[in-house]
Amino acid sequence: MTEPSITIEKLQARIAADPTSILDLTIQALSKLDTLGRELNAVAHVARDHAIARAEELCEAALNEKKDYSGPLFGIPVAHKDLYMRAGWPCEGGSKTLAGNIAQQTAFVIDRLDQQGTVDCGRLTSVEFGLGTTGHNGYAGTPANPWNRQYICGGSSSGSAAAVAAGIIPASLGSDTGGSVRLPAAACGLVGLKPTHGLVGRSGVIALSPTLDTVGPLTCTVRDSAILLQAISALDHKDSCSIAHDLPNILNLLEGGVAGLRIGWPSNYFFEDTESSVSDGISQIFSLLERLGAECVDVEVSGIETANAMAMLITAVEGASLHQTTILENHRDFGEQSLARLLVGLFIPATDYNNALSNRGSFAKRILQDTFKKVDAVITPIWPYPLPTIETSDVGANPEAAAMALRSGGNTRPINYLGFPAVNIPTGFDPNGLPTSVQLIGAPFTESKLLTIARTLEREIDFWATAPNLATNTQ
Amino acid sequence: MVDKSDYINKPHFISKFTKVGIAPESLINAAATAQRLSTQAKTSSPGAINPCNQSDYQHLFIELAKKITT
Repeated sequence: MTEPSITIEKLQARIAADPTSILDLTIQALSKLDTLGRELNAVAHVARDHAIARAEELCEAALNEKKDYSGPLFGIPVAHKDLYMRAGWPCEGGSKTLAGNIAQQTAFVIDRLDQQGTVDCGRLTSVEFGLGTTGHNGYAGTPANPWNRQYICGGSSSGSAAAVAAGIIPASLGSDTGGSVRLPAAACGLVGLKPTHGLVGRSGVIALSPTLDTVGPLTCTVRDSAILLQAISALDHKDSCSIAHDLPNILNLLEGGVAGLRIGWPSNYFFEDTESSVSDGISQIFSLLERLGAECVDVEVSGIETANAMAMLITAVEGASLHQTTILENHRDFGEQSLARLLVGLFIPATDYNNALSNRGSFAKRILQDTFKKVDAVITPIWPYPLPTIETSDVGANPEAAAMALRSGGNTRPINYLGFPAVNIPTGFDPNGLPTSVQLIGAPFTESKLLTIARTLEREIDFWATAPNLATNTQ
Repeated sequence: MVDKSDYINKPHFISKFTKVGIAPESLINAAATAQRLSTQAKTSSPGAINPCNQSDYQHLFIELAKKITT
């Protein structure tokens, strides 16, 4: 299997052989963030001084054997979506309304990664407050897709996806309220994991919808995704939704294959609004899984279309609630599309919002019983259509783009309402040379199964045999 | 069909936003989208309003977290 240009595991092997390489790797990441990262509009803030001081500290500690440098994340350069706070760093959430904002606290997951020895190199472009699926941002910039810069990265963790796919850093944390890890991962050929509700703490992350927000990693490989999940999943006492759960050692389980696992093709909803070129590709992956030993069956995910609307409704209300004061005091600093989306929440009746929350438990129980008793995972598309260009999907410039943007989260948002885990895995390329992918959805706390299926596909497909040509793909 | 006048006839609510310069058209569009979402969400099912249901969701996941080990 062809390896991507940089991965956590590759860098870790280099650091294990020579701990002083931490400084070189950090300087390389910083340099790429400042050059390629800025060309791609992927960068919000480069923390050069912090990262170099941190790399020097880790080098010295490793050389003096004050710290064990055998951990998988020790010395690994990373950067995260511009919603993750670190005390004293700029954190604007991709919004002019937070221009010049300096974070007063450090996010729980950033602390976790610090403890594991990562070198935090900066923050990456986010759609304004995570409120958009295409990646457009008139204030912070719209990241370009490293596979072809005319095309979108998807959103809202657009800078994270661009930076990882371009080989600037091996991994980044995004956030997923309605698909904002999975959509950009799919657009950029990455593994994007939305963990189970409660598994990863969210304190210190700028919220969009506290009910639905989820922290998740974007990486080039499934193994790297597992490494990051293992590092960040822990009980966060400042997050009232956080849940204690002992994850198994996922890396040890990943090579187990799919024999005996049951994978469902949804007979309703997910393929109804999906273009045939996308469905055909997923059908081939479903057949591949069957050939590899999985038991492949049709399965109904009854009522899931309602979950899409519930998720939109909850996000609208909670987004409006969080930003109402700013809307009244400073609405001109919001992007036009962000403001339009936030205003919706002002008009949702409180009874409907309450009912959307109240129905969530029974809804999740029913899907568990009706669908996930029959299968271990459901396979679906992420994007329902081939990836569009930045120009054609710009809602402000193209009247048809609004409908396109609305459709884009239809396969991901319902999973946030359920709170179940889901992973995007790249599967190949469309005729425009842009990545194609599938989404695998599982029952709560079955990330290891999802990642095992994803790892099996990754080995078979060898996606990284093709790499983005970063020098010539501007046409 | 959305009756947009339902919303623009709520002056105290609307004026709070128009007073700061938000276009009435933006509010009308937002109201129409909100009504469509509420309809699609079908949230008005009888018996759904039960205060325990919200904590049921969290309890469900807490129980699953204890049971599921793979």
